[in-house]
This record gives sequence, structure tokens and C-alpha cells, in this order.
Amino acid sequence: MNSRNLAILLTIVSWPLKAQHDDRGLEQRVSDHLARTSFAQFLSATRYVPVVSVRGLGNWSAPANIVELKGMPFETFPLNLVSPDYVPFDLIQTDTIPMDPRPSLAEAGSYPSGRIVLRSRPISDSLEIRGRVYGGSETGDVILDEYTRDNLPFYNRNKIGFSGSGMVEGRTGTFGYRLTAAGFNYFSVGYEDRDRIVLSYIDAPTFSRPNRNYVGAAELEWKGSRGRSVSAYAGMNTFTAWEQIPFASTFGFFSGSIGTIRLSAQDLIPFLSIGVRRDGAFVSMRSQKGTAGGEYDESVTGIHLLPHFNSGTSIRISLPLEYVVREISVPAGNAQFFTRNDLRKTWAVGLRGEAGFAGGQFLAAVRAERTGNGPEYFSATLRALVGTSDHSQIEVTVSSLVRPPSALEQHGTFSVARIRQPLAQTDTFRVSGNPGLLASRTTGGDATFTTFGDVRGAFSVFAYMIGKEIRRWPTMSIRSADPGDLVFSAMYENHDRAWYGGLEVRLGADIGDRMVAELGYVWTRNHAQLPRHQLRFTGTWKLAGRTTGSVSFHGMTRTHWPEFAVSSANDEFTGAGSDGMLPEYWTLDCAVIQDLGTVWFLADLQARLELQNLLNREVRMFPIGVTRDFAVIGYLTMIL
Amino acid sequence: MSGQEIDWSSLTISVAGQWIFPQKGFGTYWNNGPGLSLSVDVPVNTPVSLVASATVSPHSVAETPKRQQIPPVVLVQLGGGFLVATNQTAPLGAGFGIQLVNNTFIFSGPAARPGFENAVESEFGIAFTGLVTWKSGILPPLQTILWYQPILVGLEPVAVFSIGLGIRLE
Repeated sequence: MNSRNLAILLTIVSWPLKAQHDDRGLEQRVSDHLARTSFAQFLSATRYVPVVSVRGLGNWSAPANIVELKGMPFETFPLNLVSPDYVPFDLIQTDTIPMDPRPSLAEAGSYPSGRIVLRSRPISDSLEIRGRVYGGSETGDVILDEYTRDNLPFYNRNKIGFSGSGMVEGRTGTFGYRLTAAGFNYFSVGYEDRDRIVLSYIDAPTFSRPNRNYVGAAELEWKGSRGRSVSAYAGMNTFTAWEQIPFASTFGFFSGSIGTIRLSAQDLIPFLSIGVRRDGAFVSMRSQKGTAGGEYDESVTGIHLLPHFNSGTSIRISLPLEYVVREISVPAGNAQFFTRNDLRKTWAVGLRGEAGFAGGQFLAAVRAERTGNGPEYFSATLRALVGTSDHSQIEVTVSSLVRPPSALEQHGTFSVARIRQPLAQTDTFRVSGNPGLLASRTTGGDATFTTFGDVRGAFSVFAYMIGKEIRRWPTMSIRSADPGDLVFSAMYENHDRAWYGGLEVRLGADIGDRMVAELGYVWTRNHAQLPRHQLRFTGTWKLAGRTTGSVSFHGMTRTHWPEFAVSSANDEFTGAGSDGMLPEYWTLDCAVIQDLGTVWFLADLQARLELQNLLNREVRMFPIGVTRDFAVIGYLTMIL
Repeated sequence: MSGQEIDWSSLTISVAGQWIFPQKGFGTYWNNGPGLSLSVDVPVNTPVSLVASATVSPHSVAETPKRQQIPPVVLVQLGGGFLVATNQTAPLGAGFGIQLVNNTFIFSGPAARPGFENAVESEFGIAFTGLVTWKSGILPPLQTILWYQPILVGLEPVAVFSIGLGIRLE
């Protein structure tokens, strides 16, 4: 809403979480950018639809909306798979993507599971054209073996086809404009070689289709005097993808398109900011053998009003008011996703107060919301930031935010066939929503101590109770868990750079524990899918005047997927069974970046070569998902 | 941008004929073949140059019991990397290089299978090269090339080895 004040706040609350623009690492999509920090954890069977969880506050069973686009929430993700790559937005549009790793009440919208801000870079004052192209693949394709060996199993290799993005922007008088187009092509068969258990789950011809995203976006802004501005944003993201369906241990190959139109006006009317959004998605799932296809349309229309009053530069009072209509529509006889239409109208009103004072800042916000004739929910957050010295500060947040259940969680339905080829048998698994599902509440607090200096670091402790989180059980209804999970983590992260004999080093680490509320240590079903510990290390150094190298280490502890456990008695293929555990893993990546200068009409031409998983260790993030091994990706970026 | 600007006017083109020897499983089922290569290099920081290369070579099917189910292949090697050259101004010079190579296998004929089992596939390899350059002062500089590239393909990696003779168009 008011971007200036919001920006001031964000610089304080989220600086440790910015993936820096000049990082010399892998960046294909927004999720790659976010993965530079240990706060963002990703769940994906295919690596193509990376569902993001900020610090374990969300999970795959019940993805929560955490993405902010142009100052307002973005909600229409296909099948609730909240992936930052499934937004009408491309990485080329941004410099930084701040994250708020805690439940937060923004000036427009509530984010009970943290917030990722897709913030556009300022539009250039002169005509500028930027572009980048890239492609690559994992090694190990059985290209020759397909002809020379008999009975070869399907292979699991991933390839990024020719992908890239382009952007043109400029300014005419008080008007600025930007046009963006991007395409991402990804090919993955997506299951492990020789894994006959996995082969029983899938329909190979369906899942060998390529995944892709095509993004187009247009922005127009007008800037007047005294902070007055109007901006319009329109974008589209069309996709085909296969991924695990939420709640169910089954897969779907789906396609569709996501679109948005967003308008915002700052201070055209004194003391009032206005935001209007209209988001839509069309999703369809193709038929597999023995499984019905399905489709649905989703739209979210919202208006956000923000009367605000500033007292000098130190105090700001605002009254967020929003009205949002969420609608699902399906064709008659639809058998997948939804079997009926759904319409929800939500009112929300809030009160925010922000105060800045010497050496600190204070924020208090409350929010009340009501959907239709349902119950009224209250949320609140309190945040204080105090400078403890010239080079350090401490920030404390307590909050309690509610998240009403979505239509998909209450009325969704999925049925997928599992074809057991060796037995010539087809099993149909069905998962249904729970109409009586209640809202979940996330309550807790965190404290972060930050030091600034030659080496900048932050230490944070964090504890939130997620009430009535949703569990998924195959072949059963979605149900809630009570009393909920306590997410606790401690984190140390150092994002600044230090020089050791010419070696530029950055170190990041995340250490966390997750326990149930009664404090009996277990791997809870919800959060066992996220690693308890993560470690990330990155070093970069200059190899020559225009040549830079980087090395990155990333380690994660094991994860547990109880739905995928198979007893030996039920394992008709190998008899060995599986406990649903994925072992810990670590990977070593490296990159070489060569600045090529100006070549013909291309300025700032830069070539980057990424060698991922250099030691060729097999890595899997999902029990029946793809494996990763050594991969090579090349990039070219340029400015015209 | 920092550091010395690349002098693109120093870019050099080389053309060479090669004889390509497939190794391991590749060599078991496919024959050796002639190759034509084109490479360009440009100094970035003496004695280091950036180098890019392209080589095309056809390989017929070897006489094995599986001959009928194997299609002939055209191998296209596209590489990029660094080259370290010594005695660049002397009549006789040597160079050593390393390149990351993308290998495209183009199968053709009735045994090639389109669709999911692609008739055109690619895979990466790492090539180690050795060069000897002779400048007679009369002819364009002549260059002999040794090339060994493990290709990270398949259940068991294969390789190609090649020798070649070419000229540099400086």
C-alpha cells in the first residue's frame, strides 16, 4: 500500500533474508533466488512446482498463502500449491525478494505463515532492454543404452530446455512502463530408475510430458508530486506441470493459466491508499488410464483501502479495510478437484500503529475478519525493535494470526488410479475435503539479535504454535490435528561478506527443532517433511580480472514421509518395505562467471556456468520423486 | 565491470579435420568416423584464452549382433572453456585446455525412435585438449590437436578420443 513506509519497515524486519542481487549463484526462477537463505524450505516431488514453506510455518498438506505481489496478497495458486514460480512474475523483474519469516499482518492482507514479497525493481528513467537465456541438464542420460541394452527401465534425468526472459522498460515524462516475457521449459521423467514400487504409481506416457511456464507481464505507473502515484500491473502465467496433489500421496499432471490485474493508487485522495486486485486461475488435470480428468476456475477479487495518518515522520496510524470475494466454479459433472461451485465473501478491518523513535521502532496491529455468516476471527501482532548499541539491535515479535480453511481443504476431492502393472491391478485412491474444518491459529513469538560491522550476523529464536493444522491421509478425509504443532527453531545466519586472503566468504546456518505441543519429542507428521537442520555455505573469489568462481555447500538432515512407508508384508515387489525416511544429504555446487563486456550490440554480456552436485551424489527430496545428480546449466545475460 | 576489457579483435579462428575414435560402449557399437571442427579463441588474461569449439562427426554402426536395432549417429560436440598457451609468438608453441562440452547425438534411419525415446538427445562431457602450433612464416599457422572427452552419458560413461590437423586464421 504505502510503499515508502512499508519499505522502511521491511528494511528493518527483513534485511537478513534478502537474497542479494549480485549473488553469483544459480538463478533460474524465483524459488532459486529464495533458496539462497536457509529460511525458505521447499517441498516438491518434481522440482518443478516447489512449494515453499518459510521456516516450517506452512507445509505441503495445507499450503498457506505467503506471496505478496504489488503490495497485495496473491492467492490463486493451482491446487493451493503455493509456489513463488506460479505467479505472473519473473525473476528478471526484481532486484531483491524480501522475506518476513514470521506470521505478519501487512497493510494489505494477513500472512499467518510468513511473507515473501515479489517486489519489482524501480523502472529505469531511460529505455533499457535486458535479457537472459539459459539451459542445461543432469548428466547420465541413457542415450546410447536405449539402443544397445534390452529391457532398459525408464530413466530419471532432468533437463532445462532452452529458457529465458526479456524485459523492456522506460519512462516518458511522469509515466513509466515495463514489459516482461519469460519462458521456462523443464523435462523430467520424474521417478527413480528400477523402482518398481514407484512404477506402480504412475502412468509413464502422462508423466513424461514436459513441464513449462510461460510468463507475460505489463506494468504502467504514474508518479505525481507529493508522493502521489498510480500503478497498474497485469500478468499471465500459463503452465503444464506434474506434481504431487496436496493432501494425497498421488500425482497429477495438470495444466492451466494464472492471471492477475492489480491497480494501486497512493495518496490521490489525501491520506488514502487504494488497491484493487483481480486474480484468476484455470486448472485442469488430464485423464490418466482409469482416472477421470477435471477442471475448475478460481477467481479472487479484492479491494484494499488504507486510510493513514502520519504525525511528522515518527508516528503512523492506519486503518486497513478490505473486502475480498473468492469464487470457485466447475462444469457440471466435474469429478476432480471440486464437484460444486463455491463463493466466499470476506470482510476485514484492522488498526495499525507504527512509531519510530531514537534507536528503535514499534509496531502494533490488530485485524478482524469474517467470511459470510461465519464466525469472526481476530488476529494481532506486536513488534518492537531496539538498538542495543551502534552496531547491534534486538527485535522481538509476538503475534497470533488466524487462517480460515480454504475451499479446497473443505470441499476438494481427488481420485487417482495407481496402476500395479505386475499384478494387472488398478487401485483408485480418493481423498475428500472436510466441510467441518475449522480455522487454524498460529500463535507465538520470536526474537532476533543482529550485529552490524565487517561481519554482519543475526541470531534468532523462534516458537509458534500452529493450531489445528491439517493432516493428510491417503484414501481418507482430510482431518485436523489437535492441539497442533509447536514449531521451534533457533537460527544463526551471516549474510555479509568477509575477505580472507582474497577469498570472499559468506556463511549461513539454520538450526531448528520441531516438537508437538505436549513436548514429547517426535517427528510430527506435518513438519517431519521439512529438515530439522540446514547448513549452507558459499564462497566466491576472483579468479582473474573478469572471471569469478564460487563454491556452495548445502546440507540438510533427513526427512520422514509416513504416508509413503510400506511394510515388508505389503511390498509385493521387493519384500523389503520402506520406512518412509529420506536420508540426509549434502551437495557441492560451483560456478564460473565470465564478464564478456560489450560484444557487438550486447552490453554487460555475462556468461555463467553452473556445475551442480559436483560429486554426483544422488539426492532425493521426496520418497517417490525425482533424484538429482550432477547437472550443468549455462546462462547468458545481457543489456541492450 | 572491472578488470581488463576483452580485446575481441584478437579473436582467432581455427579449422581442423579430425579422426574421431569412440571409446567404451560407444566404440563397441559404433565405428570411428571423420570429423570437422571449428574453434575460436580470444585472450582474456595472458596466457589464458577463452575458447569455444564445434565438431561434427558421423559414426556408422559396427558389426555386432545388435546391428539391426541400432541407428547410425551424427555426433555434434559444442564446447566452451579455457586454453592456456605457451610460446605464443615463437615458431613452435604448445597449449593445454579444458572445455565443458555438450554432445548431441542425432540418430537417423529406421532404427531411430522418435518421441519420448528421443532420436536427438544431448549430454555433457569434459574435454581435455592438447595443441601444438607451428608457425612457418609462409603458410598460415598449422595446428595438431589431441582431444579426449569423457561423456557423462548412460549407465556407464563413454568417451571419445580424436586427433586432428588444422590451420589457424589469425
